[in-house]
Amino acid sequence: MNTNSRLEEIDFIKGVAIASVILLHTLSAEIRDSLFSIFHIGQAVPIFIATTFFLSFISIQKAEKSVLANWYSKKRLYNMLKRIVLPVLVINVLQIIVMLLFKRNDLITRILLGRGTDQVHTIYGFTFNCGYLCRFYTV
Amino acid sequence: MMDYGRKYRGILLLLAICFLLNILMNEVSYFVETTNNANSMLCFRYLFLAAIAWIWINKHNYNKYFILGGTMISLCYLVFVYNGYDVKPFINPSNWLSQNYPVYFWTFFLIQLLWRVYSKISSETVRKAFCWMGRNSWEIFVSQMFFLGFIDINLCGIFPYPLANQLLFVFVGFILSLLPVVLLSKIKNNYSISQ
Repeated sequence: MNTNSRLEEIDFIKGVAIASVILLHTLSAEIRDSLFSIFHIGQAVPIFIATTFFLSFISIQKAEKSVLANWYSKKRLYNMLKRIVLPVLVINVLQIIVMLLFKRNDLITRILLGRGTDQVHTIYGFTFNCGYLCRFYTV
Repeated sequence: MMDYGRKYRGILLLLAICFLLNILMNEVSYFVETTNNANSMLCFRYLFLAAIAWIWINKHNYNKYFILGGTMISLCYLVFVYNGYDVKPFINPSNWLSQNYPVYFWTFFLIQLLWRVYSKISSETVRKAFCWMGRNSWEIFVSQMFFLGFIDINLCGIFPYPLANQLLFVFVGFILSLLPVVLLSKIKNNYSISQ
């Protein structure tokens, strides 16, 4: 099995996982329960983390010292900031702008503190996003 | 027997360390309330998956009955969780019960299943669509994070049938998650062509 075909399989697995994440967040709890979601789509996040670890280990195995030596290099950190942190910040700023337009100061506080709400289906805050940064920190 | 022990000593040690740290964090966060948020941090909560990923890479070195046994234990745990059995104090109940360390062999099974499904899919379009979603999973996640801040199923309550509203919300969810990423990809492609 060559490298490309393996990566395509990983892409496919991640694709199914992200579709599962959308389903998890849009289906109601009753429907999720009736579909036994914890056995399949409910495993989307562990699948993501496992693929992240898998790719990391593969990179380390292939390149050995060079990968670890460059793990915190400026270039790698810059790429990570550009690909992962920047979109999150943009989204958070956009969320705050929209909420300012709708005069929902309560929700802005919750975005900044990273707490979910009862009224809104899901609000992901800065602190929560930090967790997701780790989650998607793929090699 | 000696060789077998030497060969697997490192891997078993990794498994044991990850597993014990995972349990330790769960227990500490269960008994000491202030550390609950620390356990929510992904580096602790999902640590055992590192060992699972290592098994994934070296799966041919593992006894299949060992993996099968782990999968069965994970499945039993999930059945327990689904039926609402009390899993305290082994698992902190304030965290996602169905995504905790006992379940990761089941995750491994699903990954292996998806790996095989990929080669069985005859439709190139379907395969490409999922691969594209996989490559853009972070961007898709971020855009769904944005719209879920404002939209919930109640806003899609236009039909008298709850199931129809649910389907509409799922459809809207996919469109709003994927559309910005599709547009961004197109802009990026055009920009790189013009460069």
